[in-house]
Amino acid sequence: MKILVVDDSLLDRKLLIRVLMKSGISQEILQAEDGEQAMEVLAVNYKDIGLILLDWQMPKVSGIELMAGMVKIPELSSIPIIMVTASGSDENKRMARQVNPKLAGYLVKPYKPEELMAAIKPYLK
Amino acid sequence: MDGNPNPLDLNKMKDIVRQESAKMNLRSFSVEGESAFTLALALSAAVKKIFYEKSGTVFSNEPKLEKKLITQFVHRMRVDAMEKFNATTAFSVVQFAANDETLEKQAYLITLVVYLEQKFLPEFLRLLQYPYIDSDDETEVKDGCGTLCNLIAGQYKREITALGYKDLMMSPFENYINTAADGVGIPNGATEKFELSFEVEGSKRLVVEMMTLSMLPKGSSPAKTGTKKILVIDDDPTFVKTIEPFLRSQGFEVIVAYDGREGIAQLKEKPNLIILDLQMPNMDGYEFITAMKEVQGGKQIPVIILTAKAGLSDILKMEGIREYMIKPFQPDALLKSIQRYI
Repeated sequence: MKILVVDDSLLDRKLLIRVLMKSGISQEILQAEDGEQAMEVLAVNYKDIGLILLDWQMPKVSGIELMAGMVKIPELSSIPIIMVTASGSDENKRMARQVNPKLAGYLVKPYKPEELMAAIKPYLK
Repeated sequence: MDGNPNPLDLNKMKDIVRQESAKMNLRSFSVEGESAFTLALALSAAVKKIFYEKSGTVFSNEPKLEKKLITQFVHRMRVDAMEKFNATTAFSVVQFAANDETLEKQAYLITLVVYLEQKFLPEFLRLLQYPYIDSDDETEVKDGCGTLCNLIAGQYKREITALGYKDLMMSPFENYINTAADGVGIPNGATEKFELSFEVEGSKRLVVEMMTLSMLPKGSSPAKTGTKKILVIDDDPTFVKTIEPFLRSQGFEVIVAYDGREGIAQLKEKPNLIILDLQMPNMDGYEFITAMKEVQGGKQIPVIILTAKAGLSDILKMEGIREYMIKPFQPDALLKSIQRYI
C-alpha cells in the first residue's frame, strides 16, 4: 500500500510526511503538487494507492475537483480520501461529503499530529 | 516493479474531472476559524490562486524561480521599503492591499505576501509554536512556499491580541471586485471575477471568504474601440504581461517591443499610439524618441511615457510626448489618456 499526499505547499507536504514518518508508518509515500499531477500519479499507481491525503485549494485542478472526478472513475472511486484543508467551515465540509459520500475524513489545518494519525489509522494496511 | 503495467487513460481521467467539476458550483471556498491562522491559510491559498490565474505560472516551490518572480515583483512595485516591515506595517499594508480592487494592488499584495513569507518564516515558526515543527532542517524553513499563512498568522495573532481588535473589517465583500478591466487574462479564456474578503468578528473570530464567479455579467464586456494599434515598448516582461491583456481587453490591438531598437522595427506596423518605458537595454526610451522621428510617419505617433521613475516631467517638453505616467499604472487613468489621443 502507498499513501498519496496532494498539496501545493511544499512545507505542508513536508510537515505531513514528517508526522507520518515519525509515527513510524512503513507505507511508501507519493506526492503531487496539484490535482493534475495527482491524476498522473494515480493513472500509474492506482492499484497500489490505499489512501489519499488531499488539500482543497490548489492551482490547476483543486482537491475537490479531483475528488469529484475520482468518484466517477470505477478504478479510483474506492480509494479512501481524507481532505486536509485550511477550511473548517460547515459549508465546505458539507460540500466535500456531498461530492464524496464515502469521504474517509476531513482534517482542518493546522491539525495536531495525533489527529492526523487517528484519521489515517483505520486505512493503513 | 513500481507502478502499474496497465495505467489508466490519463486524458479520459482529466475529461471526467473536468466534466464533474463543471457540474458543481465549486468556485467558492470559505474559511472560518477561531484563529488568525485560518485567515492566513486562506489568504495564502487565495494569493496562489490569483497568482496562477494572472500569470499562468504555478506558484512554484522551486526556490530559484520563486526568487526570480519575487525580484520581478518587488522591483516592479518598488516596495523596497518592505525591508523595514514589522508586524504592524505588514498588517496595515495587507489591509490596504485587500481594500483595493486594482490589479496593481493585488500584485502588491502578492509581492508582500511572498516576500514576508520568506523573510519572517523562521520567526513565525517560533511565534506560532507550530506543534510539530522541531525544525532542525534549515531547508525546510527556507522552503517556506505556501506558508505565508504561517507568517501572517504569527503577525496577526500578535497584532490582534495586542491591540484587542474588536471589530475589524478588512474589506467589505462587495468592495473587492475585479473585472476584466483590470487586464487580467484568465488562462482558459473565460472571464472571471475574483472576490476576496476578510473580516474579523468580535475579537476572536476571523472569517475569510473567497469566491470566483464564473462569468462576468453581460454588459461589462470591454467597450469596442475599433482596432487601433498600440505599441508597448518595455523591457520588463512582467509589466508587458500585465498591460498587454489589459489593452486587449479594451479592444486594442497590441504590438510589443522589449527595447527601443525592437520598437523602431515595430513602427512598420504603423501603431496609432506608443506606450514607452524609459530605462531599457540596447536603445532606451530617450534614444527611441529621437530615432522614431527619423522613421517615416514616426513623428505623428503620440507617445505616452510609462515608467517607474518619478520626477521627469520635463520630458513632456520633448516633441511627441503627450503624457508622462508613473508605474504602477492605474488602468482607468491610462485608458483615459489613450482615448484622448486615439
